[in-house]
Amino acid sequence: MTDRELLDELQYVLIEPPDQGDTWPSLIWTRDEVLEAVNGAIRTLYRHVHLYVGGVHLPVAAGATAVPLPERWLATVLVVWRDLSTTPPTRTPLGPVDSFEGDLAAPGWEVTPGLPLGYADLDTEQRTLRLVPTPAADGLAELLYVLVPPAVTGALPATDLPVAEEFIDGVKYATLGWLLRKVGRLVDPERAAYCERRAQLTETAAAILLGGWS
Amino acid sequence: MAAYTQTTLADLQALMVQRWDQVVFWTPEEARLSLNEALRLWNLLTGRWRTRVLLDVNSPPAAEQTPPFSDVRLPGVLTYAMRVTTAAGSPLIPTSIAELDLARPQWSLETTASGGDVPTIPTLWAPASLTQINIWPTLPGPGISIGALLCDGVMATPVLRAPTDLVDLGEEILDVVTDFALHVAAFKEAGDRWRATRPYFEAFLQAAADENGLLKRNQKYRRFAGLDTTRKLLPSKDAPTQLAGVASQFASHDTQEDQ
Repeated sequence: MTDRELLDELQYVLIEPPDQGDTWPSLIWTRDEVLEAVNGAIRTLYRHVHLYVGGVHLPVAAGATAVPLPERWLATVLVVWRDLSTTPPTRTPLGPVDSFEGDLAAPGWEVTPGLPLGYADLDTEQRTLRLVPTPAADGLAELLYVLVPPAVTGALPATDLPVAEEFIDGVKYATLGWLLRKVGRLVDPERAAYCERRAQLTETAAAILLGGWS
Repeated sequence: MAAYTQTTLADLQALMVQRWDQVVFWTPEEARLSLNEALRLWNLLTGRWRTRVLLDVNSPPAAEQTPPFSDVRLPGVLTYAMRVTTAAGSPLIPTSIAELDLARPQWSLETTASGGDVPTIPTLWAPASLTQINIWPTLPGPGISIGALLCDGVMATPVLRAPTDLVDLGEEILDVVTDFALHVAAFKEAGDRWRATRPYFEAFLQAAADENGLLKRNQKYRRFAGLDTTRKLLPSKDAPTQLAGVASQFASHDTQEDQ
C-alpha cells in the first residue's frame, strides 16, 4: 500500500472527501497533523516490535568511553561484546544498564577497564553507546538495532509505506486513535480506545512472530 | 470438511450487502477497502497465503559486518518466515537470538567447519526481524555449499482491486471475513450502528485463534479475543471465598437490622 492510499483510507473513515490526503476540508485536522500522526505511528510500531532491524559490528578500542551509533539508529535490540584479545574471540551478551546502575554495580567503571557486561545508550549524548565497564581490550560491539523508518510525505508520486501490508492496520489505527483523541469537534474516546486496542493487536501479532517459538 | 473456493471481490461485496437490512451506508470502494483489511488481518494472524523460497546463505548482509555471516536475508516475496529446512528435508529447529546468545555465546562465530560439538549442517534458526533470520551454525565462507536452505513463509496478502479479482478462501471463513469487513465499514458511523458489529470483531479473532494455535498460547491475544474465560471464572486475585460470602450475609443482615 502506498502512503497516498493510506491517507485516502483515513479520509473515508473520518468522513472527509477522499482525495488521497491532499485536503482536509472539515478543518478538524490539518494535512501536516495527519502526516505527523502517520509517521509517529510507524516509528512506534518499529520501536515496539523491532519490525525491521539493522546489524553492525562497531570497532571499539581498549579504554574507549564512547562509541558513535549509526545514523539511522532508533533503538537498540541487543549488543554483544566480541573480545578480540583472545583466540578465538569470545562473545559476551550485554544487558541494558544506565550509568546509575553501573555506579552501583561496579564503582569506577569508567576509569577501571574490564570485561564489558552492560551497555548504556540513553544517558549520554544522542546516538552514543557506552560499554559498562569500559573495555580493557580491543573488540567489536555487535549491535542489532531498530532502523529509523523513512518519513511518509504523502507527496506525488506516491511511495510504498515502509511497513509490510499485514502490519498496516497497526499504523492506520494508531493514527486514527491519535486523531480521534484530539480535543475538538470530533473527539471520540470510545473509538479512540478501540483504535489503540487494534494497534496493540498488530503489535501482539508481530511480537508472536518475532519472539521466536520458545 | 469445508470446500476450497475462489471468490471474487464482487461476490464478497454482495455478501456484505446481504448482511445489512437497510440502505447500505458504504460505497463499493469502502467495501473493497474493508474487505482488503479483513484479508490482511486474517493473513497476519493465521498465515493463510504461504509459499516456499530458496535462501541465499552467507552473502554479506552489510558492509559494516565481519564474517562469518549468520544473518540470512529473506526475499521480498515473504512477509515473514515460518519454517526452514535443508534441501535434504531436515528441518531447522526454531529458537530466538536471545536464547542463542545466552545458551551458547559463541554461536555466531561457529560454522559447519568448526568441528567439536558443532553440527556439520545448520540446525537452528531464529527470526531477527521480518526480513532477516539467523542460522546456527552458519557456513564457513561464501561459495561453500551444503545444498540450499528452503524457507516456508507467509506471502503478501492478495489485494483486491477490480470486481473480478479472485481470492482463494475456504467456505468456513467467508462468513467471518465478510462480517469483519462490515464491522470495519461501520467504524465511520460510530454510535450504536458500529457497536452492534463489535461481536463480529471478537468472532473474527476467535476464528483466527482456532486456525493458529500459536495465538491461543499468547495470553495477551487470548484477552483480545475474549478467550480467557477460565481466568475470569477463577480469578487469582481478589477471588471471592466462602468466608467472604458468609461475612457479606452478616453485613447485609446488619444493614437490615439498622433499618
